[in-house]
Amino acid sequence: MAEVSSVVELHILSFGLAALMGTAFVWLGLKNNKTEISLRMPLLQMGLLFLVNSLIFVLYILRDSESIQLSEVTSDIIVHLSTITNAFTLSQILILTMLFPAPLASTREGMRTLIAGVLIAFVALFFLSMVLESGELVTGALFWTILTIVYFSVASLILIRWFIVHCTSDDPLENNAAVASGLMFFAVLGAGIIQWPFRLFPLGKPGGSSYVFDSQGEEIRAFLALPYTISSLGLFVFLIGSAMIAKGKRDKSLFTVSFLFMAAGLINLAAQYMSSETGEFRELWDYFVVTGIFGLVRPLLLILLVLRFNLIDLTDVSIRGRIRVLSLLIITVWASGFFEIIQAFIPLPQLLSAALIGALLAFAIGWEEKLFDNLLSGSGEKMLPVTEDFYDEDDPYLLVMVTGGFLVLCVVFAFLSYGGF
Amino acid sequence: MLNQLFTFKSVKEERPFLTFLGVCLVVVMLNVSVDPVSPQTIDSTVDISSSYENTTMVESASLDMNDGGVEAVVLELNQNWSDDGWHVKSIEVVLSYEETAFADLDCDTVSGALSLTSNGQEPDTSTAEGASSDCSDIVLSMVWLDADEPDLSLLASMPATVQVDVELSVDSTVPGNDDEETVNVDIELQLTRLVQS
Repeated sequence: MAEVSSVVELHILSFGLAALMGTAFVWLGLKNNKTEISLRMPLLQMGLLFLVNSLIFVLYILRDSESIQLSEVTSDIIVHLSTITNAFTLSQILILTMLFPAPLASTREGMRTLIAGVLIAFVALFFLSMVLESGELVTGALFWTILTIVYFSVASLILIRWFIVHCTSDDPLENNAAVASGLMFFAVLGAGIIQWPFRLFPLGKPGGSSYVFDSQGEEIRAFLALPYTISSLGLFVFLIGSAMIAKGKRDKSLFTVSFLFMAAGLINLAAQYMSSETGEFRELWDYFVVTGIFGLVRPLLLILLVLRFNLIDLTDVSIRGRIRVLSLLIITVWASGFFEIIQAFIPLPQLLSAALIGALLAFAIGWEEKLFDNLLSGSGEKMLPVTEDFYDEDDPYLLVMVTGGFLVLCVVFAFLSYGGF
Repeated sequence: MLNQLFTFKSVKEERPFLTFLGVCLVVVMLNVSVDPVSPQTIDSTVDISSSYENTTMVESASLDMNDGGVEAVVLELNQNWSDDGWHVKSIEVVLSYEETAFADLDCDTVSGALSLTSNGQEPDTSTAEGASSDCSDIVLSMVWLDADEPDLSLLASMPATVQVDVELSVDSTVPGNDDEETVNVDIELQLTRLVQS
């Protein structure tokens, strides 16, 4: 089986995919004036999320690459920075759930208050975690844990609520919002969902990098159980909900995605039980399953969301042309990342893997044209609730500036976290 | 403040969401209060076994003593031994000497006393004092358990200090001929620890 080198290669491919999508979404969010601004804001936020993810992948590459020799201090700071930046992406995800499928607030001022509240709480929780950890080894892990408990839970509840309230609505816009919230749920909160058998049943300690329960003290277990329990139960809300609603309102894509995540959880359960805890297979499985969802499944689902719910106006010929080129690039990078994961488990000869990538691309290139035509023909039916004149024209730029500012703050926090109080 | 599509309505309309929240809380409580079932290892070649690892520590000293003199040999084991899981299983001290004075037909009298300062249990059997006047070896010992796989909680642990006090009383058939002797002290500690694989 492959070792560290394939992990670094997957980081590189994930970085490429995230940077590509982030740049595209940010550009479309800022420049595509023909799309309603209420739809451009969540598109922009998704793009910023991808850009921060790409930064995180760069840090992972620096951390894990054997050819880059870093001093111990630099290495530690990189670890702290990646932890803080990962925590920041939780804030971005929470803000995204406030923007999509519809603005959570009723007014622009209300929305600014909500977003400001999220960011101020981010800063406050950082200093709180530093104070709680002072005197002991400060790793940033407590900060990440607190944010996971609070932000992950709230983001999950917001999306689940959108679905529960509107999945049976007669209004097609509200129904679309319910479906969109489901797809967004799996896209941004999906990595931990496949641990659902261990959350919902008293099964033994699972492996997996997303699991932090058993390393914490008893007093924190109840709080840590909350976000992952919400997301695991949310899976079944979407699965059962999308299966049981009336035929006219049922959405096949949401049901399919829910079913696949449920099945992935069962496969993960089997893999955890049937492989040796200390074996190489388990180590690779735990790493690639989580990273695979984070790096490969999330982009696919978000692209589906963006194209399906008209966050990008495909009727514009120039935009459509650029999106098609972009989608071909994304498919190429994605296929390489996918086979990188396959090769980690099943070492394939380079020629064979190149041939398989070529075959997949040939199929995908023909398929994406059909997909675009389908999306274009069905675009009128998949509109989301839009509040006109909700945002100012400056709001997209403001969002980019605030994100950039907070990224700088994350760097400062990383040094603070490294130095300790 | 919240979007009209998202605001909370009547309890009846909110029942599905409230039910979801209730189920979440119940599952969280169950997660915390119910111990998970540990997975059984299906791979039969994986055998978690325990075994004991033994080691012997030896300290030797050669004491040049005068008549009536008392010397002590001290062996100290620090906390690191306990941190690594080691326990003392037995201590054996052998005091040996010869009559080296020319034409002296009477061996000197050597007496020895063994003492231990340590954490853990007292030895099960102990010969802490001994003496010899015929040049035979003096064997002092402390044994905790005479078993191959002892319960480690019943053994002595570190930090520990082993002290052997040696006293020489010169006996000589030739007056004034002999007033010193060399006594060899050999201390052997048997240590044991549990090793899991």
